[in-house]
Amino acid sequence: MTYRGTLSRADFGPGAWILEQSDGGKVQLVGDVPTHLEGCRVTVTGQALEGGMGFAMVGGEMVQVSAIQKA
Amino acid sequence: MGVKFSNLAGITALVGLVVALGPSAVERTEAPVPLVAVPDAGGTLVVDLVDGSSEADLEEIEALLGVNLDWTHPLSVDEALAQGTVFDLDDAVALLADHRLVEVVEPEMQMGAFAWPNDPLYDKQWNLRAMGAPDGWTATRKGEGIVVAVIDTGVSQIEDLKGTNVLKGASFVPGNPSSADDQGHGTHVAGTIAQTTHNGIGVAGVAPEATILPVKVLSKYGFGSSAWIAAGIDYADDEGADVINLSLGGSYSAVIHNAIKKARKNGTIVVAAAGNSGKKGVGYPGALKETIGVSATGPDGSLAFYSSWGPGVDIAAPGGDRNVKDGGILQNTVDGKGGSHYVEYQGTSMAAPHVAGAAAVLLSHGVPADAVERVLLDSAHGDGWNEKIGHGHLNLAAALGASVQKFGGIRFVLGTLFVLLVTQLASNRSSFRFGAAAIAGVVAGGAFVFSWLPFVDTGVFALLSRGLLEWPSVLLGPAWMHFPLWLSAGIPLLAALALGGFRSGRMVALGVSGGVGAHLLHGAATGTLEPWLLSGVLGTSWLSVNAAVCLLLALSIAGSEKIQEEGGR
Repeated sequence: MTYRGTLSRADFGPGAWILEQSDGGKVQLVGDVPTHLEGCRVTVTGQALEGGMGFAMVGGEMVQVSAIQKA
Repeated sequence: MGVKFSNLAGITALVGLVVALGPSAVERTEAPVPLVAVPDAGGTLVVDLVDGSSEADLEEIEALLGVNLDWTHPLSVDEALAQGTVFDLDDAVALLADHRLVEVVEPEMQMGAFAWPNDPLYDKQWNLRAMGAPDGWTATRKGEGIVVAVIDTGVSQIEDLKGTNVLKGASFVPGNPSSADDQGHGTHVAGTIAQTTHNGIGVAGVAPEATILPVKVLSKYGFGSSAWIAAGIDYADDEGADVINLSLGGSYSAVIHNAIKKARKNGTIVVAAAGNSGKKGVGYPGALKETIGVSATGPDGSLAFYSSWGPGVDIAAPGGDRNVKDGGILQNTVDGKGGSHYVEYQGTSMAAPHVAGAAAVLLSHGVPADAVERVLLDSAHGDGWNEKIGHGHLNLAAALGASVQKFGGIRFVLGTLFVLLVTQLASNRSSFRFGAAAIAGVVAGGAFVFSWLPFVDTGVFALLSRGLLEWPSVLLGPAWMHFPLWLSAGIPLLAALALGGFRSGRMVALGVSGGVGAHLLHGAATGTLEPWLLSGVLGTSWLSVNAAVCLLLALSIAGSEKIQEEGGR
């Protein structure tokens, strides 16, 4: 699956990577994320993690990241 | 009556000494250091009213602030010095600064090395003060013997957790067999629950004597599958966890729900974060009826901007607000470089462990597991349930007070049985037996039916609804309930001396002996009574020995009555 949006750091606990989509939706990213892309529009390729949970709890699905590119 | 009281003078002198020193004498054992202000939004406010101010004047100030104030000390009433917890110290000071009844008003100053705890960063832990933890720590058990499972990213026993009981735990994250924290979240959560406290370094925790069971179910990226989390909950349940903290969430999972239901069935208390969506809609597992769902508040006591809310929120606790200076929840946790650091986090993840810690403290006081949730919710500060803060703001001090009251019925029965047994042994007349037994019940547990009636818990009803040993708490303040000579056979002895000469007097004296004895025994068994200066085994021994004296005294009075009954035939 491919997801597009703005990469941001959610300030909960030690922080979590979030993709803010243009429709207002949020995707929680699981995996290594290049920090220099924070605030950039990016395209994320990854796999939705069904039934998982995390500490960020911002809502929206969680996605295991396989690649991130600046859009 | 053959009761002798030859050492009355010595005891009177001791009473004078302890009264002169007061409750603060328990804490003030170290050398003084310079005053340090408590620099936060919420906290304890000290109000010096115009000398000679009355209760009515104090109530006027309370109404203005919207919070309860207590006289700082029984000896401070003349000086009209009062204090209480407010959500915004600056606002409260501004509100009272020019009030006609107020001489001086300021935030409470901590006497660094004097105070308990002496953790240097405790001043920044507004969250612990906001939830009434310091009052809860006064001469009470602090989670001793209670296991709290932290189902999270793992727990590492970093610098400020060294003195805390941390079990080996387990990891359910594939490829990572260690329960150590490789992320930072779990250790921070564990610290809020049971950080090593009064160790002269770092910060404090809500239930520092509790034992932490680390259960790693979240990877270093903060993600856990439903299978890992469910397995972790099952493990914690199998390991005998008394409380489970779930500072995690997501969408509904039947397998996690099932694991939680099993844990609940075994009497485990499950606390879960409400979520950080900033919108209506509590995430799972916080939304489940089997969990205590916790929303987050900031330093001003209002719902934090990020907190989820709605049906499923049971209670609110400090979760922090990093937009406010020093407004986050400060704890020691791993720094990702092999060491540790003190760092402020925010989130409902940070709110839930305050509730888990409070549950541990209540359990360590002998509150039954199935009553803990009710006590926490009933004692929360709020006006009924609402979807933002549930039943209200978590307050450990109030929860402990409520839990003591909850024991009223049990103590009533104990006191009654105590005297029925004694009078059975002495073969007293029925009218004497039942009269004395009823008095013993009221003395031990209070006319606890009053607490069920729609009266306000004030004035004479506040006294009548409580056992005799709880009266100082109402009349003088909570700390006075722990006065050692009050928690002794002293009052029964005096009652016997004063009233032992006539039949109705003996009935009252026997009731007082039986009631006080039953309360002392119950207090020793549950840890709800802990005399000043006598902590741990010493305190339990004091209570037990005095309960035994009460029993002997009761036997003596019942025997004396029997002799009078036979003589009167």
